[in-house]
Amino acid sequence: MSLGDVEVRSKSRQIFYSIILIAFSVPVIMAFSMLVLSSFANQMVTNFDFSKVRFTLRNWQLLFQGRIAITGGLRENIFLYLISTAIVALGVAIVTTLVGTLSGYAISRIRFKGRKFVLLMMLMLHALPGSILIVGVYFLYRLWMPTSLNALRYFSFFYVIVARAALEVPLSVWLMKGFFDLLPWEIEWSALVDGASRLKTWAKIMMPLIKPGVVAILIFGFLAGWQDIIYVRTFLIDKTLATFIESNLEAEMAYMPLLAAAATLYLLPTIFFYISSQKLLFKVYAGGIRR
Amino acid sequence: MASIVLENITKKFGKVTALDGVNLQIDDGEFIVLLGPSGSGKTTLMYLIAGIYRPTSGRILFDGRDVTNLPPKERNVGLVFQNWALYPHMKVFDNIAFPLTLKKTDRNTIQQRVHEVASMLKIEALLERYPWQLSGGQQQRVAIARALVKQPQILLFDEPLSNLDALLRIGVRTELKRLQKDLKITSVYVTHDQAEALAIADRIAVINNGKLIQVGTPEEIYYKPRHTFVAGFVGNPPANLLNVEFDGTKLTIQTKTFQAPVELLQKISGRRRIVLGFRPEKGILLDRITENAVGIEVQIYEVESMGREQIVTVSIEQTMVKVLRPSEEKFQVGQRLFLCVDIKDLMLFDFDTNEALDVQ
Repeated sequence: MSLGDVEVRSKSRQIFYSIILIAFSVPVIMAFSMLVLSSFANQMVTNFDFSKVRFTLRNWQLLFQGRIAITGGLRENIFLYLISTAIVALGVAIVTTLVGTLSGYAISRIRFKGRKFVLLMMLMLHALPGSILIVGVYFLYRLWMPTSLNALRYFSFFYVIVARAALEVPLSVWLMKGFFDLLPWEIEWSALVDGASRLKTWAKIMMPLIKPGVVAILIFGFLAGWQDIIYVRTFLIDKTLATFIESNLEAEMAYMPLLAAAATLYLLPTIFFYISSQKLLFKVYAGGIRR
Repeated sequence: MASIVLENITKKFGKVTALDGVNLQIDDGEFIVLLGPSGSGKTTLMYLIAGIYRPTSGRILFDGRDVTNLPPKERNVGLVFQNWALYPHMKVFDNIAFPLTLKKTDRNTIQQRVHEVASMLKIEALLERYPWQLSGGQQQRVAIARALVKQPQILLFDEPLSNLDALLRIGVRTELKRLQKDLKITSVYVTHDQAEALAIADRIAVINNGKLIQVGTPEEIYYKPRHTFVAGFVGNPPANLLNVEFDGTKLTIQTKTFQAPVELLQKISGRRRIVLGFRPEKGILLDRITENAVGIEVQIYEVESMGREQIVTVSIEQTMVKVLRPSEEKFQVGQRLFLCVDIKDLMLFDFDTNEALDVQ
């Protein structure tokens, strides 16, 4: 075997690694493609026997008409669910990003008492699954919950966003601290000497420089909010796509292809963001900070 | 344009004392260089002037006004960092305009002022580029332009030339000095390069271990060092420093005894040990001892040619001494000669305090 440059992997090895990676991905890819196929079929696709399967757009039509899978006749407002899902997801994304970037900056750049302690507590909090914390979180909800039903509806949105974001905050703070640590002090000092306040420096100099990191936690926050079911189910008065699918699954007789369509719709942003954030995370080091 | 007074400045980082009771006065329009080895506290002192650090104790005055507790943005200083610290996500124009946009200056004034400094520094053609598209020298001009655009009362330079290649450094050095003279802005310049300091400064402040060792014009620093540290740090090669014992009539280096003119003996009478120093170019190598000079027998150890001149290293037993001689003189390794230094070129230091002896 001839030796190439250090950074060039030999061809045979490359092929070997690719085969292993593909082998591990096959079950996952199969599952997803069966789901997507089912959403366009008259019955669930569970094997490679396609003789009884007819492909149709009916499931998607039914879905957007708001038919639910149990009775087929009852109508629910699927668009409203989409909107509430988006509100929760966007809310979690924005709260996580704001808290993450601001506290990440403070922990990275400002020396204050209890800084290490805060960091360690964050790590602890991150280690606990959200479902364990839910009892305590529920008590707080009961404590603050307004009595008027209309107000409660809005409050439940606010609460579920903040509560769900709190679970994402530790990781994003750690991530952002890491990003801010990478920025040279001189750039910040330079901005301070140029006449900027600490907050202006953060907004105009630091944030643009760690844009890839900010976008990454924005996406992580969005997906966390989009995917969440436990917090949404416990606190939110309205339904989201997740709780909609879940409530349909509870029935004994459900028209599964319709649910497959709902699940595919529900998957779209996740797939989209994972693919795009993958590229972004690779870019963090290549084009993040140039000097 | 302002004078700077540093009163009894002490700065501690935790248990480490970075600066210890520094007193320094900088006149309006003066170009002062803070010179010292790395870790001496010179950059810390400059950051204190900029307001990036706050002193642990002591006061800083600009034009008599106490600015000790003012944040950097209220001090109106321009700072050029060692790595230039340009904002990578902004074009050159926006980099230079940044201090002005923060002051909410109107668009036309910004345009005009940026173009003014850009033409002064000959970077007008680069305004639409990003910092990473520029060479080191160009980036540095941008950094200087950014410091100048806000018309600061004080300019601070943190080793601005150390990231440039040697040839460019000398050119930029000249321009910087000229620029400072034209604008008459009080400037503080930090460097560890003694040649740069000698070339550029009105006055040099030598700092070591957080203490101000000596402040003076380049000539004073070079020819009349007040401390062995200054003598041993400034000059290339730096001054020779020899530990000499004295028994009242003759001088001894290690075991080598030598005579000295009475004039010198009177100056050091009553002392048992002193440090004798002299600049390499002041040493003469002859086959006899000249008048009014200290002479000692030495052996040529090595000769290094530097083109115009040569560094001759000679040994007095185990002690090595460097002498700078014109290249026309020829020396052989192993040759025995007398090293003579005129007594007016000798520097005398106390053995214990390392400070210069006050005898004329």
